[in-house]
Amino acid sequence: MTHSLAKLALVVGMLLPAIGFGAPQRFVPPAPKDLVGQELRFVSCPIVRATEHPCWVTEYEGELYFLGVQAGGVSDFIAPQLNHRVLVEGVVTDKPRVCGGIVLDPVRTSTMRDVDRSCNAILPAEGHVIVTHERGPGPAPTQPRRREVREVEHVPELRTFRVEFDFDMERAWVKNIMKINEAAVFAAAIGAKRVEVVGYRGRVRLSNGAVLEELPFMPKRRAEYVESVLRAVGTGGAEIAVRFEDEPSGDDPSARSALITVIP
Amino acid sequence: MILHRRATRGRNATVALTLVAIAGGGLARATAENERTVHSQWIEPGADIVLPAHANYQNALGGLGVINVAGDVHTSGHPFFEPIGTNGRACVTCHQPSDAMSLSLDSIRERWAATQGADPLFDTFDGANCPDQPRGERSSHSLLLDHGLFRIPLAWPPKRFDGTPVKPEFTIEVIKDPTGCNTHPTYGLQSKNPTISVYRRPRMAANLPYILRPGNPFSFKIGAKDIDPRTGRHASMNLMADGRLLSLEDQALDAMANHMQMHSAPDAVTLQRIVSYENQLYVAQQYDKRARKLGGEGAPYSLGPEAMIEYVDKYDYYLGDALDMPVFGGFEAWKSEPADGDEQQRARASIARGHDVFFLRPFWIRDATHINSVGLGNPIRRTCSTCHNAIMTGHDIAPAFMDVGTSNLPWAEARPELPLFKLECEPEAVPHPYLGRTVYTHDPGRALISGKCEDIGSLTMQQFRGLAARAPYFSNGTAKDIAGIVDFYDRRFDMQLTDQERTDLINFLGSL
Repeated sequence: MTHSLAKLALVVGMLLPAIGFGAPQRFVPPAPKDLVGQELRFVSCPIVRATEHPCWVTEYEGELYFLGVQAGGVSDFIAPQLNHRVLVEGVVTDKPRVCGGIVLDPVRTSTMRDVDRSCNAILPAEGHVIVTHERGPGPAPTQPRRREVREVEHVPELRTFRVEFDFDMERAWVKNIMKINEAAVFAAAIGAKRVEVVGYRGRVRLSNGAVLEELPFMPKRRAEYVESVLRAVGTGGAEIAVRFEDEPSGDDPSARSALITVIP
Repeated sequence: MILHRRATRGRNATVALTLVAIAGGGLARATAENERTVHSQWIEPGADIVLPAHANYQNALGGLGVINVAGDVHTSGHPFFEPIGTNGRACVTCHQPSDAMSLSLDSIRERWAATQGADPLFDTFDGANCPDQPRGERSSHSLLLDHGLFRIPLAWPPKRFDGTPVKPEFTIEVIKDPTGCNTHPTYGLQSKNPTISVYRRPRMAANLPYILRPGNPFSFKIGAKDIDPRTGRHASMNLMADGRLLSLEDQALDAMANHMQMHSAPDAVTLQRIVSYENQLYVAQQYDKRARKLGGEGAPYSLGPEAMIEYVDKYDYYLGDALDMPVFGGFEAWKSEPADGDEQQRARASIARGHDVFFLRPFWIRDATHINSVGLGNPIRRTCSTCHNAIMTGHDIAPAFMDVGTSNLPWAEARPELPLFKLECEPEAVPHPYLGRTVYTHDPGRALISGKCEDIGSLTMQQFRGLAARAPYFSNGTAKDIAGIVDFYDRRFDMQLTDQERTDLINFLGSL
């Protein structure tokens, strides 16, 4: 899942003692010049830092990389999980470090499927302060439903909705469940005749040359998962047809997906 | 204090009784010296009484209010109160108004003492550790008498609502079987009708319009919510500990067939009367011995049974983990009570502080399936209201099942009296996100219905109302009292509560 860092959280290590935030920090420069612009793909243990707004980093080849800040379930950044490894796909920038880590932009993370209890690190805050965050550790400022909802006009036309999944995952996160909901609502609104669902799987070539291929049953399970949500929401009577492509569809993260096509 | 009016057939005259306890046929008067104990105000199946529209029941922390929005109920002939099965039980046997429409351990023990175990409550089908154990011997009923637990036999493997079998993602091995039931040749997993027996608490049959609110058809926990075969629409899935029954009708039918050993289906009118009655009940603590009146003028708006009625249809959306839509609200006035004030003022201030511990105090929530595993990250630094987010009840609208470790090792407390199972997941199954593919558990919970490995140990959280009336808590009775609830979470999530925070949180929970 990608998220682009529109705003940067600035870690003012050397100023922290002056404003009373913890022990003095040694200034750490942004990414080494030879790394900037590199596209990295690797699997590692995620690490959470116990800042007031917890931030996530990971270590790869001696460098610490920033992944994101704890948010809510509908955020672009889906926080990783301790007790699991994380697949990181991102581009190194020369932006100031955040949470002590080199900023990747864009960056996508996938929590790997199996339990790995060696991934168990919580770092102290060490004076890091996260300035930019979507919400704090307490309740949200506003109930999600009370945010303004746009009225959408549904024009009868063939439309597709791509539902993305984490690597080797057959259940979608909230933002992608909302896409399934959107597809179902659209199908019902236009009186669609048919909704087609195709499940796919992908692969990723890591920076160290290894190739990870998603599990062979992913396309079927993704398609069936999407189908179940479509049926739960309702498609206004449109027939739902499901199929899946057994072979990996490519290296791009978008291959880890199911495609919904609504046919008027 | 008026509790129950004895009905006089054919005449309007009633006798107002200032009763507090009915035990063993005797009557106890409400006097100051009785306030130290919890009184059982037991309603026997077939009782001929009138339950007032607003009934008051004393408990150790004060008083519980039970409101029936349809008015007084004459129990004689009412199917909720009549023993319509074959074992003498009625619905009320396990859903007593004085126990917040659940059943407290104190009430169970008082019935045992009063009837020497002859009460239908102790029917051996599920009121004994296993049906073959001799009725009336204390050891046969130890799980009920010591922990408030009933045997819940579930077919294995499970079936869907349409009767088609679910193919489980795991195998079950019985590691320890202190009750003997899971390895029993007639009642166990290797019997002709393979059955797994788990042991659970009765749930509250009140405030149900909140519990049954369906919400969105999809859930970020599970994708699609289950469809209620009766309505063809998605259900809340919050009625049962494992979400196996989606409607009050199906719960009633299941209870009649099993708990009441009824051998034929009831007629439609009987079923409808039971369901209607359950839907009419609103329950909350309404009086605290120190803070005094809960609810009404001068009190937080979310306290008291009247508030449960007022807010049941007030909002479009009942997610309460937000500052502008809190789960429980209105405590600002009590926060300003003076620290050196009288007992009432100090008690109110404590409850208000306890609310803030519940709603505002963050801690690391970690390794909890269906909360950490749904995209929030593991761990996440949040508050109690992150999971207990439903406005006015404190359950989870998402739906509410999750594994916080009440049943799964290593987090579950030592429970030598409960069966212990080893579940091995298939290589292609999504594993339990924090325990992997081999899980030891006292109760697989939702996994016994879904067949999914990742659901092992997930159980539907209950609402917070009427806690003072219905100890012990959690599905398997792990917490003996409200302090036990708080202490479980403090240990499980290393909350590091101060003594003051702990006391305040306990007081807050007791006021709901």
